Amino acid sequence: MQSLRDVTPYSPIVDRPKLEWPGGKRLAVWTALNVEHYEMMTPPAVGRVTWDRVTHEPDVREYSLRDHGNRVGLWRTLEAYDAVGIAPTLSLNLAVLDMFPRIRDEIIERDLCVMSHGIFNTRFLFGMEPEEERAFYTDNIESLQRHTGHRLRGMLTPAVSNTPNTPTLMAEMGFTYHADWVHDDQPVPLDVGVGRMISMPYSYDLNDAPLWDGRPYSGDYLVDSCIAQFDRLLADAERWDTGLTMCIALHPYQIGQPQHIGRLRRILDHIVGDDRVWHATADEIADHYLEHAYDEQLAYARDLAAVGAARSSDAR
Amino acid sequence: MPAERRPGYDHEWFDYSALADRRRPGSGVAVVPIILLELYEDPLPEGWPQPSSTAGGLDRAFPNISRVSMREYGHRVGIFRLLDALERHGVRPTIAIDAMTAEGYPWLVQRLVDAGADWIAHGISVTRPIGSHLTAEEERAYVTETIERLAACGIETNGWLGPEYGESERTPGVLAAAGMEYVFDWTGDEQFVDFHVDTGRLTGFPLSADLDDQTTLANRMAEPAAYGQHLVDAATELAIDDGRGARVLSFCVRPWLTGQPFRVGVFDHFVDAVVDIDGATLTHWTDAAASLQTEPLQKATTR
Repeated sequence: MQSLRDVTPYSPIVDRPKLEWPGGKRLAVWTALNVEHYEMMTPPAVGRVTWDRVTHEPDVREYSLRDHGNRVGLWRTLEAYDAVGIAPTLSLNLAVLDMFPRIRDEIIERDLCVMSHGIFNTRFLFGMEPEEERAFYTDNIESLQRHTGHRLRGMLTPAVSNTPNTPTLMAEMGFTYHADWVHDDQPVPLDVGVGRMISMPYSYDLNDAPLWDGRPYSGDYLVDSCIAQFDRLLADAERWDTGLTMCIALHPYQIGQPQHIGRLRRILDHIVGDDRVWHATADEIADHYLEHAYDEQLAYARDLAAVGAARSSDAR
Repeated sequence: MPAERRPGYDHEWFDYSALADRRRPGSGVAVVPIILLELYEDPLPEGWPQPSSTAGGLDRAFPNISRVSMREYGHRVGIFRLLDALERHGVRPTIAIDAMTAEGYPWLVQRLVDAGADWIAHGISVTRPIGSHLTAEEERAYVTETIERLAACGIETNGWLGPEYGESERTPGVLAAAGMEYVFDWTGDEQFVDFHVDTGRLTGFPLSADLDDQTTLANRMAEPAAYGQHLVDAATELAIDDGRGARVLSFCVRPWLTGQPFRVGVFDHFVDAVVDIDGATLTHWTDAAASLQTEPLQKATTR
């Protein structure tokens, strides 16, 4: 892959084939709940420094802020979801399964949908050779299999770190969705030439950690943004006569703080109860898309690219 | 060259003129949102210094899926929301487009032609901004290449907005020599500015740096409603007839930024509000240029 655009043939949302969600729903809404472990003492940094507040590790303040998510915030967050009867998708650093069996048991008990978020949030894909990256996926897949018996289907890369090979190698290893992408309001095929790989629309805007951890956005900014996003996407789905997707991205160490959890309740109260909305997991959205939409959407995008190529060669 | 402590600018492109001293004909404000269609290259091209203000996504090493996919969103989804808002009021969109976008997105170019796009040339890509790192020859070649590559896509214009407002100390002269008649990079006035160029003629089209959506929403991290209020406040203020002549309110909006579902209501509300402000006209750039640039600037006061 020379450029990311190599795997994302252009497809304007207003012209591509209509996307139908189950039961004629207009908007698929999923939550990516990032359950993470940041190592106290990190391996040599590649591409990104985790603990940049201090000159020498550990940074106990920042380490334990994140630990609060696993000790306290996760439980408070899950209770907020319980109250409205929907379930988040866990974007999980898989080492959490080994390190914190209490969390593993809760995942099993609730049968939560888990996608990979790598092993640790302090070990990045940057710079990995293909063999090393394949071994990383094998570790990912086996970790979830060993603990829950489930097969991993998707990944948000750890701390959002990719190699040029990531979408292709994921497809080779049997993954079907890659959640680092924010280029569309629908899943779309990633044309990697192997397997069947799609993007699962994520969000860096409706995302507590980038907004609140080191930036001046107010707490209510997230609430206002989520509500505005939801209302507009539903309206556009009607106007464009197609199914759209919305992602809310959260971290228990942020949204699970006592001062913020009420904001999640306000968001959830707004987005439940509309019968045009499909509250789904990332696995469910991907499975439906692959079965019902992938082939025609990819064919449309490839045809459009071919027309464009022909037109530009005419011009020359 | 460092500035000398004498009356006049530390450049010779135009003369100082205080708006308070002007008595130009006309009144009201032409409101011109400029939609930027930009291609963000990843990896970044070598030899092109990047402004620190270029926003989008998270700051990551190649491949930066977060940043590239956030910007791609504008081409696939966000642009249609902005076009709808303008089309609802029967206004032709003003589109600043770079050569790589024009070449890579022929469907979108055709859609914009159908919408009556009023084009502005916007360089080769947002990641290749003009600057003093270029030699004079390289800069002339850059401008010529942009014009030719856009023309090959059916896009012709005499207006230029540099990627990231990028200029060297030579740029206005280079643009005028290449046939450009309007430059949008200079954000110091609310009325047209006559440039001194050796070849051709060049007018500065008023543009607000402060109301640029990237400045406000991304870099200053304003909340969308506050940005929307800034826009309405500016249009309201400029619509007042102060006897000093008509104004232009133009600002850059990015489909990947303002076109996001949770932000685009701001743009919708703004265009809806503008058409109800007495003295404000929502329009496209060549219309603003033709209808308001009726008088040459007063003679130099300081040179």
